[in-house]
Amino acid sequence: MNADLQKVEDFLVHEARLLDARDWAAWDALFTPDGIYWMPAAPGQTDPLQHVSLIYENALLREIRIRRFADSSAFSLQGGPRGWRIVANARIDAHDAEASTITVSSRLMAAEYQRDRTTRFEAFVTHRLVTEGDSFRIAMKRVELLDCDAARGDINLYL
Amino acid sequence: MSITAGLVEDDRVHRSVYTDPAIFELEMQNIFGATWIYVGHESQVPNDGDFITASIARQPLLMVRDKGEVHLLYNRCPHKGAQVVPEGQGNARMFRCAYHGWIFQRDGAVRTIPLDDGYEGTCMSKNSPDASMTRVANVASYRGFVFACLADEAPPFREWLRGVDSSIDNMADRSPEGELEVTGGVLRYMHRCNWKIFLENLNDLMHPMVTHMSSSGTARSVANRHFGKGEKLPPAIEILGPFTSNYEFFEDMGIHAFPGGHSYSGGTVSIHSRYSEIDAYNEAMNAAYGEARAREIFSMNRHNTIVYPSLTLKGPIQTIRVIKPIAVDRTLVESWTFRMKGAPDELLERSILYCNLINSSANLVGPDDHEAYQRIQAGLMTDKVEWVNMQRHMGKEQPNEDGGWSAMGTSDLVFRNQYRTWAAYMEKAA
Repeated sequence: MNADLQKVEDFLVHEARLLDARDWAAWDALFTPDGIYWMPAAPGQTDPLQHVSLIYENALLREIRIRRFADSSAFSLQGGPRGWRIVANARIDAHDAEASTITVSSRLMAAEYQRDRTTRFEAFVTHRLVTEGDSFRIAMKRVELLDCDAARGDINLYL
Repeated sequence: MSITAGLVEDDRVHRSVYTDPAIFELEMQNIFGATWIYVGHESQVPNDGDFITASIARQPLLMVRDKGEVHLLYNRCPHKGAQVVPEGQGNARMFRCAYHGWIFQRDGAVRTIPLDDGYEGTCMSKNSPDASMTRVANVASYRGFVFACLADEAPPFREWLRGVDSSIDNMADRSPEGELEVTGGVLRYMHRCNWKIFLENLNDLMHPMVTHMSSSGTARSVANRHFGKGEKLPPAIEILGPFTSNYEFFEDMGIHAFPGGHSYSGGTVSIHSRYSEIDAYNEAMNAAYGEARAREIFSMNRHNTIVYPSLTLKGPIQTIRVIKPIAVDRTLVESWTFRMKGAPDELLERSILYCNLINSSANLVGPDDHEAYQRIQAGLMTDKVEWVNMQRHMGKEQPNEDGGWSAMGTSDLVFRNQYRTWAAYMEKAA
């Protein structure tokens, strides 16, 4: 299990660094074809279909968002938001060897800077990973912001 | 002379209506404190004892159901002023103040005061009305939408709502049971702009094809890569695509304004009118209303309806956005979703998807609107140019038999009408 945890942590850091580098395409390629990126709007939210979310995106919606990141007419992205992420306290919560899936929980601290303003984010993160050879694909990444139900301004990047 | 005199002309408004903190404070009294403001939906308090906290003009309120009736109380202990119920919702037999333990019945009447003999002969004695929570003077409900007017004298409710009551009707009628139910949580999006900039944008049909090219335009091009001509598109594409319809489409949608500052755009066609049919829903509607009436209900398809100054709704996708001004350059927009009773889950899921894509603070479309609002707020700091123009298609509006006016979709009619109302509210109270 320890060896697995090390591999998982390496993967999470690799993922976070792709996001830091704004290498969205390489990041998106980490997902399984039906992989989901989810940012709930309520703490403990279990239902993504009949309850609103900040983000609930499949491959198609991620493709739109990622293309928009590079679109010069995305006015709210001018002056380029930049950010970094720290992933910590990773633990393997469940391991289904038969289905080759691992559920990992971790904590995330991140910051986004754009035009004289820094926004900080803290989140509980859950990854459902599928083992693939020596590495993993993301079947689900759930980023529950500590203040996910607060009144808040724009979130202009993936965390 | 009032500080707002001369700031609104027929075809332009002075920039200070968006930037002056003193004017903002006056608006809270003369508009938000003087007319009907949406506070919540009856379905949020279905059973006796159910309550939600609410607010008007930054004042904390408590909406609670007791003996079947909806009460609206100022959420303030009559004693030292503490908010009796913190933010949130729940069910309670009675309310107890966290500070000195005063206990109130669900209708706000005081029930227990610790050591109450100390108040004997004062206005805080138990039988004095001053010792109970204060009720909001005027509360009215239309199809479950609860409005309140904080002023002692309210405008006649149904007359005030005229013109846009039909938008609320259409949203409710789209339920096979004719009833709506708030569900699916709330999105709370803080905007760094004056509340009127947000409000104006909802029926500004000259902006979508420009502002939303990076989201809606990208959605179209991504869809073109993945789906063939005539192939059924996923709901997300059906939702995002129409925002970048061409000028002609938005012009033809038309726009309608009413006394009281109300308005709606669209009528028979809107950005919501090309969503895929859902057979089980159509069958439920036909069974409930008969085919002819069901067709008539669906033939109305409005884009944004503004119940001035703070309730905005989208009937065809069953969502509302409630505008809560916080400061002259801060506005909270709450977005709520409704389940249409008797309709398949797919309809609710489409409304939820719509809100995720358009109204969440991490959505694909709204940040570019928000960017425009912030640029307006910044640009209006220009001393050299003082006025904001509202002349587009001026004089081409037509009066209607329903007491309103209609114009082509890109007309500034709605803005001119909003400021005519704004000036009337501000000057009446001056």
